[in-house]
Order: sequence, then structure tokens, then C-alpha cells
Amino acid sequence: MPDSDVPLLDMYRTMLTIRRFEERCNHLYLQGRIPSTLHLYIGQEAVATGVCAHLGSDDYLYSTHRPHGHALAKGVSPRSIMAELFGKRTGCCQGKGGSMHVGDVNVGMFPAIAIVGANAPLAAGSALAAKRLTEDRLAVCFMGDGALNEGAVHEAMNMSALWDLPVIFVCENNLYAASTPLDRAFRSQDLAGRALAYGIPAVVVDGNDVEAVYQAAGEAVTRARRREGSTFLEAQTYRLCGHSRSDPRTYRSPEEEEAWQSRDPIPRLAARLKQSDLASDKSLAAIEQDVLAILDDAVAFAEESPLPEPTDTLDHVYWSGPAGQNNEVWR
Amino acid sequence: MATQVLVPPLGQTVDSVTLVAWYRKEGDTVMQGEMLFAIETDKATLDIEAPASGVLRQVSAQPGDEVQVLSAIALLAAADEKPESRPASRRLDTVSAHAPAQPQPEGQPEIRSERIFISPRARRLAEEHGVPWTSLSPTGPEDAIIERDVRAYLEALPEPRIAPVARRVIRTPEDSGQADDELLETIPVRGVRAVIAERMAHSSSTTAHVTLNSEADATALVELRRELVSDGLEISYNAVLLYVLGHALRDHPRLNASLVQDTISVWRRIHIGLAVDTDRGLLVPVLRDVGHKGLAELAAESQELTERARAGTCTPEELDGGTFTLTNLGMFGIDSFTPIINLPECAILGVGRIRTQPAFLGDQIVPRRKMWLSLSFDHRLVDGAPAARFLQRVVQLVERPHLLLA
Amino acid sequence: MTIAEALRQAIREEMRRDERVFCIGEDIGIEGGFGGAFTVTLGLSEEFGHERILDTPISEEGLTGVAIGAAMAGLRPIADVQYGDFLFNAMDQIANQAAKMTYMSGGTVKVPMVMRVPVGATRRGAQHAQSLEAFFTHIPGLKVVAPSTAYDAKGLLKSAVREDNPVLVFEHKLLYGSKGPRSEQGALSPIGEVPDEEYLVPIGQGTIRRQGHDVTIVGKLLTVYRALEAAEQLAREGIEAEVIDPRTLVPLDRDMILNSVKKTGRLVVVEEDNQTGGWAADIVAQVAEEAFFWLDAPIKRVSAPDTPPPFAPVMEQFYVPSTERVVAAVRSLF
Repeated sequence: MPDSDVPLLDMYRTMLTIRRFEERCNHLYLQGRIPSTLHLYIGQEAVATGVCAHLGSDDYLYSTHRPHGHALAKGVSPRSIMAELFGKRTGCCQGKGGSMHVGDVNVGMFPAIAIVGANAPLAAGSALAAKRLTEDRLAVCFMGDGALNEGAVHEAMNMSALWDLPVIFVCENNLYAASTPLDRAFRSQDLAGRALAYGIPAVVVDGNDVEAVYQAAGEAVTRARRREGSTFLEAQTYRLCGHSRSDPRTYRSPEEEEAWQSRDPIPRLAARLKQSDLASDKSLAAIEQDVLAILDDAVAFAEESPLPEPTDTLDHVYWSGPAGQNNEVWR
Repeated sequence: MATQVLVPPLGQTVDSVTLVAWYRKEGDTVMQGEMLFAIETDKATLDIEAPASGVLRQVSAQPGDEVQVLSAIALLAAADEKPESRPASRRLDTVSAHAPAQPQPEGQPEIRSERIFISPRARRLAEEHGVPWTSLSPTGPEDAIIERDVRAYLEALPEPRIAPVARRVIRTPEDSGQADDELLETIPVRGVRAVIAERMAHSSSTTAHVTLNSEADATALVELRRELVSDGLEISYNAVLLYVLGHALRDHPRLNASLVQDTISVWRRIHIGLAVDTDRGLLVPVLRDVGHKGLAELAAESQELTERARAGTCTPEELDGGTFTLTNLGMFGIDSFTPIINLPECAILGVGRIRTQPAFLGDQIVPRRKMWLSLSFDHRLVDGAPAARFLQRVVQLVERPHLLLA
Repeated sequence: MTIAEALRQAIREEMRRDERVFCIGEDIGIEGGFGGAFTVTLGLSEEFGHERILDTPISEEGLTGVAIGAAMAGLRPIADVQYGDFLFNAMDQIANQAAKMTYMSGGTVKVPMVMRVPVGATRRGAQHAQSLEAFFTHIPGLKVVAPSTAYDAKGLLKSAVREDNPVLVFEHKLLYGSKGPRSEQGALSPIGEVPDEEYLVPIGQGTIRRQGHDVTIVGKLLTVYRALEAAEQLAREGIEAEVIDPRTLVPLDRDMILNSVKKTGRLVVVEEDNQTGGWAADIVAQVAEEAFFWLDAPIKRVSAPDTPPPFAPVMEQFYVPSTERVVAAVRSLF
């Protein structure tokens, strides 16, 4: 029987929102209505959902070049993400960021970091600030398996451990870094062991089981809020799509993909919900409708939103004061 | 080896002249000795010969430009030579001056050959002040003309010899503030005009000038001249008057003198300047040693000098060194006038027209040929009585020319 | 006081004034330690403790990122690398993260971080010697300052801490004036008057160190002193040089430089860094663009040759722009 405290229905809705959103983006991209490539989160929804379910809008989240799922799970509005993908002024970054940099500080998500591993020290730093300035705020840093070979990640983990920073490193191990499988990048594939080596408690979970993720994340969040230190979560999952839109995935076997398809977290949860009488086909269908309506709205919003002025390029180089020295001549 | 075409030095007092004309143009092949350009000083226009043979290049002054004496205004280069590269033999070449006839040395492209470099700052300054910067000598890095070269030029410009009032009057129409349609003509005070203006003003303001007027009965002189002419001698009135002056000044040497600073120099010989009206203004060629020349000689010389003055081909020496001046406005119907002393001379004789006037001969009224003589003299050197005595003598010789034989 | 003392004073005052300010770097607070590579933080951990004078492992990229992340989340860090050359380790954090964060976020995230960077050749060899300001003046989103006197060091560091944008503070190793075991051979150790009372030197404002009318010489850090020495020599030859210390490299006090060049007509820029693609080149380009018609001579740069910094003293002297080279450059313009 599922723990009544576990917000399964909410998490289902979140995962479905992410899934449909990503599918819709893909569709729009193929129609040429989104001007950039996309790194879709399809298949990994449970990780973002299970972790973010514990976070408040004050808690900090750092994401990667594959940020849509984290953003939606953290509470960034579908409208503002979609408008950003369309490059509109109403986007969450005013058109300045694009797909790989979505975020909204109002809900605690900084613009996603597209340099692999670079978000780890940033997350540690924000956790440092949170520890100094707040009661129980924490920082979460999402990364992929490939990031564990970046020096910055190691430096961050070491310092986080050294100073007991309230940061959770969530490694979404989807077995591939772009096209490179684990065994071509790691002699030792014990990813969690790397964190342990720095003195950070590490847990490995089934990243396609949202409840398991929720459980493990909950413990890590508690540790962080109690200022007991950092945690490393390795969530084993799979990307049910290419690395980016220009990826035909010929480096993966169809058998492997099929195997993981059968472990798709969303049908899994749906089955769970129905099994526990928390949902029916009808109620799930209603959720589906809701989600699609929200997405339709988001797309319409994005399409109707104004484009930025070309000279908007010159703004926001600095927090305050004039833009770059010579930028006035560009106006 | 390229030869610079320099503006020749023209006497001690001139440091800049006006370029009047080029007789050849850039790129022409020029022979040594041929007339290449003309300049105008305060006294005359002069043709200048080419100092060498070659192709005319780097012409840096245009007609109307004021150029410094001894400055280079062009270059005569060998046909195949790029000035400033290694020296080549001077040889004439009829090939176009712009196409180099020999290959570049060492494959290093020669970029400086015909360009004059000037810094942006200097150029701005030059253009603001109308400085002909192409003729400046560069002292800056990479042989560029720089600001200080332009400033040096501006500072070295001779003080314009114009009285401030005159200067204001001759400013450009824009400066005067008058509507442009009021102006008929603007004449820049330069060259001859400038010098005349300066000298006349100077004379008027520094000499203690007095003019004595005396009417002479020139009937005998007129008759004498007529007879000489009918005997085939081309004698002008001016020539006769010169001859008369030669005699009179011999007797009154103090009128043949000059005041320089605080010394009066009384001259041994008599050199008389003859005022000539030319297109360019008043010129005064000087007949030398008038006291020792016969009438015919004086006639021939004065005629020749007058013609050359009108043509603008007098040399500076011919326009200088007078000890007395004769000025005749009779041909314009002027009776008498107050000539301005031609400094540093002591006196000047002005001659009016010869008119037939009634005069008494005994009781009879007879027609006589009368002529006014106006002697302006500088009272600083000579007092009224001696000057009057001189004029009296002149009048006497005019009235009784036979005394010239004595 | 010396520059090192002035910097320390600035840090102390800012940390007292605002408890969000903290220092992070290697060897900055260790008891009995150096107080940073050049003694600047000496004694501060006794007053502020080890959380606010935070020693890190050898992790330049990491500590820079931590500083940035902390700044994004409300603290005001003063980070430091021991040698400017190590900043290359942290290039991604500075160039991709700190510099771009405000922009990428559409102006919703600020990064009030200061990074102190010691630069300059001091007989330690190529990887401890570079003057690398040029790499950072090129990055939009950063501000860059380079104080060359004690007064400016204190005033500018305080301004940098109060600035809501990432600021790199370049300090020259030979100008610190550090004493004892951390003193440098060949150091200039300029001692200057530093008022006790509160003052700031605004970011973006240069200063004319010496008035003149024949040539403008612009320098930074150590080369300001070379320029001043050159100006003394040149004055004996009748050339009066105007020496400008921009103090802030980004945003540059362009008007001060342009007005000076319009007055003098000549410009020499002196930098300790190799010439190609360097800091001086951008100043020269700006002047050529904005003051071309006031120039009376070509513009000259006096820089280091395009080599890494060498070790042997005779070579280091060849490398670093000397007073003689500045004098020669100025003379060539006349």
C-alpha cells in the first residue's frame, strides 16, 4: 500500500506534463517552429519528479543542457518555457537563454547550465550561501553520468563534503553520455562510489520508479535540511529519445531500447495508481486532457508572444547600469 | 639623381614670392635652361629656368600660391627614377614618367615614391588655415609632415604688409558680413599691390613731406623736342626731363640723397626711377647714372625700360637703387599733384600736362606752352629753401633748355 | 600603507560592514599561514573566523564556481587565486557561468562576486608570471579593475565588493609591498596615503598621474610606473608626457584617454603582456577610430614579445617593458 504521504497523483501529473511537453516540442521542432535543437527528457521523468516533489520554491535547483523536465517539475510555467523555446520576449529568459538555459529564479531554478559538470561547484556555492543565510534551504544539482568525469564535479563534491554543504548531487545515469556508453568512459562504473570516495553518502536507485526516487530523495533532503551534509543519488534510468534532435541513436541497439521501453516510468505509475485504486482509466484520461490543454495554451501563448527587439541583444549584460561599454553605438 | 626645383633667392628683402605660372606640367620632360615657371616678387615677375634636365615631378605649388624662397616646389627626376630610392643616372627618357622603367630592387615594393605623408592632425590644421602643405618640409617620423611643420609655416609667414583697415576691407565676402551682391570684385592684397600699399603708407607716415609747385613755360622745350624728333630722334618728354634732372641734381646734390636711420647719404651718381603704370600696378624702373648719359641714350633706355616694365620682365636690380624719382601724369590731363616720396629717396618730381595758356610777352598776350612741376621732398633731409632753389633750377632748364649745353 | 595593507583594510572594512561578505581561496586563513599568497588576508581569520575566511583545497575551478553559486544565492564572496595564471583553470566558471548568468537569465540573476588576481613576472617562470587581463577584458558581463596605488587598491576593492556584477581585481605582485618572507625582489612597494575614513574609488574612472601636452602614455599596474619614469627622462629632453592610469579596464574611461590624445596628438600604450591580441590593441583601435584626425604620429604599443614569460632574469628583463623601451617608443613619435 503506498504511503499516503506520497503525492503519487501529483507526481503522475507532473511526469505526464513533462512527457507530453517533450513530445510536443519534438513535434514543433520537426515542423520547424522551434529555432533550435532540443535535448529531450523523455524516459527520465521520474527522476526530476521524485526529487522536486520535496523541494520548495526557495530551494535551489541547478540543471543541465537537458533541463525541461527539471524546470517543469520545479514549477517553471509551461508557457514561459515554451515561449523561451520559440525565442520570444515572454520566455523565462526573455529569449536570451534558449532551450539549454531555461530556469526561473522565482521558483528557485537558476538558468540551466549547459557546460557539463560546471553546475556542480555552483550548486555547492549556493548551498554554502543557503547554509549561512537560511534555516533549511538546500541546493540540488542534476547531472548525467558523463559529468562524473569532469574535474569540476570532483572539486565540488570534495568541498561539499569538507564543509557539509546542504547539496544533493543527483546523477541521472542513463548509460550514455551523448553517444558514449559507460564502458567507453569509465574503468570503474561504480558511479556512486566516486561520491563515497569524497565522503559523501551515496545511494543508487531505480530512476524509473518514481516512488523509489521519491523515497531516496526524501532522505537526502532531510539530511540537507538538518544540515547534516551532502548526499549523492545515482538514479539509473534511460533516455527514450536521442541525445538531441539530430541523433538517430544508431549507437544503441533496438533490443536495449525495447527493454527500457517496457520500464517506462509513466505506465508503471499508472498501473500502480490503478492497482491501488488511486486512479482509474477515466481519471487518468482526465489528467491527460488537462495536461494537453495546458500544453495547447502554452504553445498558443508562445506563438502569440512578441519577438524580442533586435536591440534587446544589448540589455542585461550587467545587473544594473549601462550595457557593455561600446554597446550604445549598436543601438 | 633627382634635382630639386627651388624658388630662387631674389635680393635681400624678399623671403616669399608668389608662383604665377608653370610653363611645363607634371610628367613633362624638361631641358636644363628652358623657362620652367614664373614668380612674382613685390617688384616684378620673373621667369625661372629649369636647373636641370629631367621629368617634372612632385609639383607642390600652384599658380597663386605663396612660396618661400629656397623652398622646393618640384623635382626633376630621371625618367625611370623613383625619387628617394638609390641614385640612378640622370638620363632623359621619353617613356611616360609614371611607368617605372626598371624593376623594383630586391622585390621590396617601393611605396613612398610620389606620396607626401602628413599626419591627420597636421592636415586638419593646414586645411583650416589654407596652408599649402604639399610644399612643406616634413620633420616627423617616417618623413611625414606633422603639426609643428604646419605651425612653423604659419609662424614664418611674413607679416601681411597691409594696414589693418585695408585688411578688413579685403577680407572674403563672408567675413565682411556684407551681402555678396554688393561686391563687384575682391582683390587680395598680395605681390606688387601689397608692397605698394605698404611702401606708400610708410612713406606718407614717416617723411616730412612738402610739395612745391611751380609752373614752367615749356614752350622752348616743346620746340626743342619737336626739332629733335623731326631729325629722326625718338625723344620722349620723359627723356628730356630726365636729362634736365640729371643737370639740376648735379647742381643740387642734397636733393640726390637718402636718409637711412639717422644718416643722410648724398649720392655721387644720379639714378632716377621712372614711374611706369603697368597692369600689375606702379613699377619704377631705374635709369642709372643719368648725369653721364646723353639724351638719345636716355631716350632709348627709358623706352626700353618702360616697355619691359609693362611686360613684367624687369629684373629686380632694374627696379632698385634709385636716388630720385620722376613721375609724369601729364598724359592723363593732370595739372599738378602731390607725389609720394619713393623712400629712401629724398625727393620726387611730379610732372603735369603741357597746356597752351595765354601769357604776357611784354604787352602782348601770346599762347605759351605751360607745364606744372610738383616737387615733393622730405623736409627731414632738406629744407624748403634749398628744395625751392632746386625746383627753380629745374624750371629754369625747362624754360631755357639751351642752358643744358652749358 | 602598502597595497597589500590597503587591500587587507578594504576587505576588513567591507566584511565588518556587510556580513554577507566573505573570502574564499587557498591558504587565506590557515592559522600561522601566509594570509594568502601575498599576505593580503593575513590576520583576517582571527577576526572573522574560518567560515568567512574560507580555505579551500586546491580547486581553482571549484572554488570559483562555489563563489559564483554563493553570489547567486545571496552572499558576496571575495575569491582569490594565488597566481593569475591559475585563472585559466577556472575559465569556464568565469567566462561561461559568472559572465553570462545575468544575461542568460534575462536580467533576473545577479552575480556579485569579486575575484582577486595577482599578476606579473617575478622570476617564477612561465606559469606563475602572466599578466592576463586581456583575456578578461574581452568578456562581456565582467568588470575588470587594476589598481596600482594603495589608495586605489582600497577604494577599488571596496567598490568591487559593492558592485552587483562579477569583478576581477588584478593586482601586480611587484606592487604589493609585502614584507618579510613574501617580499619580492625588484618590487616597487609604492607606499601611499590612504585615508582612514570611508571612501570609494568608482569603477570606470581613470586618473591622470602626470599632466603633459606632448604625448599621452597609458599604462596599467606596473607599467604605470614605467611610464612615469619614462616621463621624467623625457622631460629632460623637452618632451612633456601625460601619463594616464585607467584604473578600471572594463568599463574603460575612454573619454579621459580620448581627450588626452586630442590634446597631445600622440599615444603610447604600455602593457606587461604579449602584444598580439592584447589589451593595448583594443585601446589603440578605439583611439584610431575616435580620434584619428587629432593624431600627429602613429600610435605605438610597448608590450612584451609574443612569448610565454621566461625565467632567467636577463630574459625576464627583456620581456617586461622597461622604462627605456617606453622612452624609445615616445621618441620615435617626434
